Amino acid sequence: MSRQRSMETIFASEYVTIGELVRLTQTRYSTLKFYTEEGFLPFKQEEQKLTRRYPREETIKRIAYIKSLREEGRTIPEIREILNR
Amino acid sequence: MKNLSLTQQYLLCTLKKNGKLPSLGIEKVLCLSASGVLELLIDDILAFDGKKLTVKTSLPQDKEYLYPVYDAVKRKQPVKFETIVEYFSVSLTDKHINELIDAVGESLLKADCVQKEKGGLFGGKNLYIPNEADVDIIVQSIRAELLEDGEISEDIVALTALLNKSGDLQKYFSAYEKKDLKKRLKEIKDNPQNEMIKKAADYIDSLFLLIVVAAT
Repeated sequence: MSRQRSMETIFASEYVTIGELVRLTQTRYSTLKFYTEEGFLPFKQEEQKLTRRYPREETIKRIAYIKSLREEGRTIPEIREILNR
Repeated sequence: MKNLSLTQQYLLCTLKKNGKLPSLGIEKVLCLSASGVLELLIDDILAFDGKKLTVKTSLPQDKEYLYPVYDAVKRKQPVKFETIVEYFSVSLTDKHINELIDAVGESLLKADCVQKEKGGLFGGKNLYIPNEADVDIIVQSIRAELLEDGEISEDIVALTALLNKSGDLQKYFSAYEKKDLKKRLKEIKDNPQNEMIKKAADYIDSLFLLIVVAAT
């Protein structure tokens, strides 16, 4: 079992966990989990039951983009369509 | 997002909206002081030989908010874990625990996680009003680690165990989630690889047992 990583270490990492994404983007866990299940946030997982790892820069940009679409009033099906284009 | 330690996160999650610790229930006071000892143990600043605590290294500047705990161990070493916790929680006055709350509270103020106000009967008590957004990030972090598959950090397990012991977990988690969290904590505790966490959980368990015995 490891220690919680400091923000400095997280900012320097290529991949981050969903818990670290909560801290980086101030987004609720349930929202990130939903986005993940919807396929909005690509991740790496070496084996089932192991930690999902998200590419930090790309995922932060993706979350910010989804948030901006939500602020524009887009629905989830609309966002799914936009992201799949 | 801020880097908050175990004790800072624990205090932030247990403070009421009016900036006080709930006056009823010794559990929160016990867990706050236990959290201070645990943090110093996890960070290798204190040593524990299975029976007694001793000081291992000097207190780093960024841990100054734990000076009351560190100083108590240093003066009394070698000292039992429960003696230190009792020093803060079972005394005639609130002096020792208030010193610890003030030290951690000031560090939270510096990190911009609380607002400080004056209160109490004669307005001489410091109140630390928690910033709800910061509390929410901590709760979401617990959710994200414990309700997900994969590795979990020692810090989150220790924090969840403390919040569970002091009865604060139900404030933030539904009965359904709490069941899952407890199941996950048990799995972690039973895994021989997680020796440090098992020790931490055992410290807390034995501590509560001692308090119950002392009260009966």
